Parts: sequence; structure tokens; C-alpha cells
Amino acid sequence: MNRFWRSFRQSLWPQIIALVALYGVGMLTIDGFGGWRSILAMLVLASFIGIAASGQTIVALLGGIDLSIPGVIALANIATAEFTGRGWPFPLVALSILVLAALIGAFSGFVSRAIRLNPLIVTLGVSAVLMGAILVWTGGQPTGFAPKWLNQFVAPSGRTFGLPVPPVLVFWAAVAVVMIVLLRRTAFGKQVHASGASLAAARLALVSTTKVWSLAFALSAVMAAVTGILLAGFSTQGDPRISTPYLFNTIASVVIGGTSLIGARGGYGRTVLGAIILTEITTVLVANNFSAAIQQALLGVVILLVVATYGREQSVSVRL
Amino acid sequence: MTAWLSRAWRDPAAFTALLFVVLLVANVAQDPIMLSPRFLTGSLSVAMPLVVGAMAVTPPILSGGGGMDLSVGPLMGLINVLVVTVLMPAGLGDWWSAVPLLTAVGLLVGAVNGWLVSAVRLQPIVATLGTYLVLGGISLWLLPSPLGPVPAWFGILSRPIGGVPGPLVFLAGPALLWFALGRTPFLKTLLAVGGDDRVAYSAGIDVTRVRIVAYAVAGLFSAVAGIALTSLIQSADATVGPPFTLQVITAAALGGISLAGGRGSMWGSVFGALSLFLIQNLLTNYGVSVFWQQVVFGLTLIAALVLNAGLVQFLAGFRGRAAP
Repeated sequence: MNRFWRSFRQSLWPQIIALVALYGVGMLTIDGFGGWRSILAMLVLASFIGIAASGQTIVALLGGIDLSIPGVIALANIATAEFTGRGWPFPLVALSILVLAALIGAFSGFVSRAIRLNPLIVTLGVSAVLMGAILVWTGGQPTGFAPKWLNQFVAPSGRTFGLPVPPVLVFWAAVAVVMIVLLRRTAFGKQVHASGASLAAARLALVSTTKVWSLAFALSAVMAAVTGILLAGFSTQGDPRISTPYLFNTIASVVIGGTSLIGARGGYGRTVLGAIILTEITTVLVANNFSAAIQQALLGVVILLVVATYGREQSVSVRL
Repeated sequence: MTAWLSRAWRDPAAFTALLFVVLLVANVAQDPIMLSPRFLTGSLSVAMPLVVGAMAVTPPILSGGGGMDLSVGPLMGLINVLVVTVLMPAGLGDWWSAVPLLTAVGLLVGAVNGWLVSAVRLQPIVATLGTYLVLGGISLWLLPSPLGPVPAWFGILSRPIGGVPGPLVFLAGPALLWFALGRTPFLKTLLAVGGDDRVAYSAGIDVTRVRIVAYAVAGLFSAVAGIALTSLIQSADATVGPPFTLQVITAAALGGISLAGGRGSMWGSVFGALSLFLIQNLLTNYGVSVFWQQVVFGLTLIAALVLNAGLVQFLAGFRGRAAP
């Protein structure tokens, strides 16, 4: 029985059951919850969290954490709306943003590993610099305009090659496939898992942990920037405040998916489920007319309950 | 003497103390009036919520295992909100009933955090993120919009009392308690658990209990920080508490605490928080806008940490330092 519970908790079943159970709760309490349109709307919301959390997953597998995601999202969001609004070509704007994000992320990863600073504090500092710079730039007001096609790209009513599926979902699926292959089938993925399990052992296996950390944080910042660009289409304007929820959202979806923040256990497939579960929870709470305050408190309780069922650490007596 | 000096230099808190002195000199040079009793009291009353909050987050970080308390900010906020929404309507607003009740709430919330972390064994960031959301939600639910005023004794504590700055009370309480705990085996066992919980467990230390106490102390100190916050703003507002979380973690980190646990001191966190306050004060006095302040704050944080880490490595010698 005990062995059954252990393997059950390590499988994907708890997440799948939570997903279905929340869907059931939604169907019972909300009219039209199960309709195609509302499912698409939820998935689009989940896609933003899911894409932003893809980098957070890799960083979590290293045993790190990236708190600069909101800062990078805001930067990409504002820059996209501002510069494409001025008539600059979108590919140029997007490329510059992604390169800048990669540099910012690589800096966080490098500093954290090379001189052994805690990534939590480093990324917190980076985020403060970015948010401050953005506020200086915009004065805290929404600014610029996103290109029309980007609005269509992320609209829940959007179509891909004539099919009633928003392009952003196809994009998310592609991101998921690439991330899962990257983490499972490539040398980089193996190095991430090795560094997350034991830095000393990874170093003995000739893994350059500093390089792995720099790459992982760069990737995290790039995925956050991608989210920021997509969000510019969703909100049609660049808005510095749009990124605030992503600080805790990305961590919550990684954890709800079942990836350990201590490192080496988990994967991106889990985070995808986590992002969808998180969106279901919020949607059910919003649609049942709970006030923002109660929503927040219940979300906290749900996170604690969910993680208590399958995210428990080993007792110290077993780890001896 | 030399042994003592070299040990003091290797203590990361030494760097913070140095930073504090430099910033203090810079502040006083910019505006000598800062040292007058009235201004000193005012400055201390602004600094105290941050200082005591940084003290609160210290024991959980020291307890290791990814130890962290994100709920410090929202708990400070809840204490602030409880004064107006629960205590005053119930006629319990006097200090002799309010202080015991509020600190009891803090202790209870902290103990729940400790239970979640060490008995339910959730990762500390996740467990306290959960309580962060719950406490923040409850505060907003109790008090959707700001309300004032609070009982008069909160205001008295932000003024000089018999020549002594009143806000020092908020520092003295937690400091005395921490000093008293330092006389018991608790502090040593806390550092042992934070350094390596498996070794501590093998040595017969009740790891679970030590961690619960660490988080309970955090809750208690957060309550004191919440009272200091109330005394500063002299009203209740559900949105002022949560932003403190990231600030107090920053202050503790600036104080040279190791976020891996087991290394660091309460004094480091106090000086870290005071330094953070002095940076903000200096920038405000020079008329730097709030937005720019955030940029400078981030840059200072990174620069200070890089310098601190570099200095510690340089003084300890790269070779002699075990790679964590």
C-alpha cells in the first residue's frame, strides 16, 4: 500500500486527477464552462503562464529560482508595443528583445554560479533594475501599440490554417515539444539534471556548471521575453503592470506540476499540466464571483493542499 | 588580537557594518540635521518595520533546507489590519491587550508556517507562498480600503520618550528575545540544522522542532514589525504589508546571511536593513525619483553582494573554501 502511494505520487496521475476534478467542479458550478470557447480561452491564459514557466522549470531543475521573469516580461512587453507602434519592423524588434533578454539571463546565471551568490537575490536585484528602468521610461503608464496580427495570434477566437485553434496554442505545443526534447534527449538536458542533482558530481563528470547555469537562466529570460511579446498582443498596449502576477504564477505552476524546486526532479510536461490546473483554479474562483481578496486566499489554500498531496519532501531520517 | 581581527573580517556581517558606517557618514554629510533627536526618531520610525522584518526572516533562512519566509510582509499587513478591523471594534485597542493578542497571532501564523515546512515537509518557498496568498487575501477581505486612525499609543511610540527615540522599543523587544535564545541551546542547534540537517539529526537534534520554533520566532517578529508599521503610518491599509517581503529578504541578504542556511547572524540582518534604509534615504534627499530609486536599489544590491562575496573569497583564500 505504501509502495503504491509512493509510485502514485511520483506519477502524473495526481495532476491529471486534479485537472479532471477541477473541470468537473467548473461544469457543475458555471454555465458554459465546458464549451469549446471557454476551454480555448482558458488554454490561451494558461499558455502565457506555461511559456513563461518553461524557463522557470529548467532553472528549478538546477535547484535555482528566477524572480526576474516579471521584469523581463514587462521589458519585452513595453519594447514590443513601443517600437512596433513607431513603425519599426517586428522581426527586428523581437530579435533585439530576445538577444537583450538572453544577455540579462546569462548575467544572472553566471553571477549566481561563478561567485556562488543565491540566484533568488541576484534575480531579485536584476528585476528591480529592469522594473525601475521601465517605470522611468514609461512613467508607469500603458504605452505604444501592438501589431494587429499579434492580436489575432493570441486571440482565443483566432484560427490556425482555418482550424478553430488559436495560433498561440499551436506555438505553446511547439514550445512544449522542444523543451521536453531539450531536457530529455540532449546533452544540455542531461547536464541540467546532473548539475541539479549534485554540483560536485557534475563537476567531476566534466560538466561546466557555470556554463549550464548561464545557459539555463538565459533560456529562462528568453522565454519570459517571448511571453512579454505575446502579452503585448493580448493587451494591445504595452503595460508595465501586466507582468506582476507572473512572479508567483510561474513558481506555482512549476510546483503544482510536481517539479521540485530543490532540483533534478520533474520536467516541462508537468509544468504544462501545472499551468492549466492553475488557470482552472483561477477561472473557477472568478466565475463563482469570489472577490479578489477571497480568490487570493483560496488560491493559497489550494496551492498548499495540492502540494501537500504530492509535493512533500523526504523526511530527514530517510535521507541519512 | 590578530586572530580575532581576521575572524571578524571573514564574517560577512563585517562588510555590512562597514557599508552601514560609510552610508551613515554619507547621509550625515549630506544633511547633518539627521542626527538631531527629532530627525533621528523620525528616521528610526521609518526604518523599524524594515529592520524588524529583516530580523523576522532571519531564523527561517538560518534553519536551512531552502529555508525562507515569504509571508513576513503579508503578516505585517494582517497585524496592521487587525488593529482597526478586529481589536478596536471589540474594545481591545489598548496596548496591554493589543500587544499580547497581536504577537500571539504572529506566533500562531509562524508556527503554522513551521508546521507546513517541517512536519508536512513542503518546500519553504511554496509553503510560505501559500500563507503569503492566504494572509494577503484575508487582509484585503477584512479591509478593502484604507481606514484610520489607530489608537493613540501607536503614535506615542513614534516620538521621543524621555529623550530616547520611541521606535527603539520595536528593536529592543526582538533583540532581547534573540539574546535570551542565544543563552539557550536553541541558536546552536538552529545553526547546526541549517548547516546540515542530516548531521544534526544524527547527533540527536530534533530537527522538526527546531525548524518549527525558527518559523514561530519569525511570526512573532513579523507581528512586532507589523506593530512598528502601524505606529509609522497610524492607519490601516491592506496593501502596505506584502511589498515588505522582497525588501526584508534583500536586507537579510545584504546582511551577509547565506541563503543556503547555517551561516549568518541577526546583527548582519539588522545592519543590512539599516543600510538599505540609508540608501533609500540618501536617494530621497538628493531628489532622485522613486522610479530611479528602484534602479539604483537593484544595482546597489547586486554590487554589494558581488563585492561581499568577492571580499570573503579573497580574504578566506579561494583554495581554503569548500565549494558549496
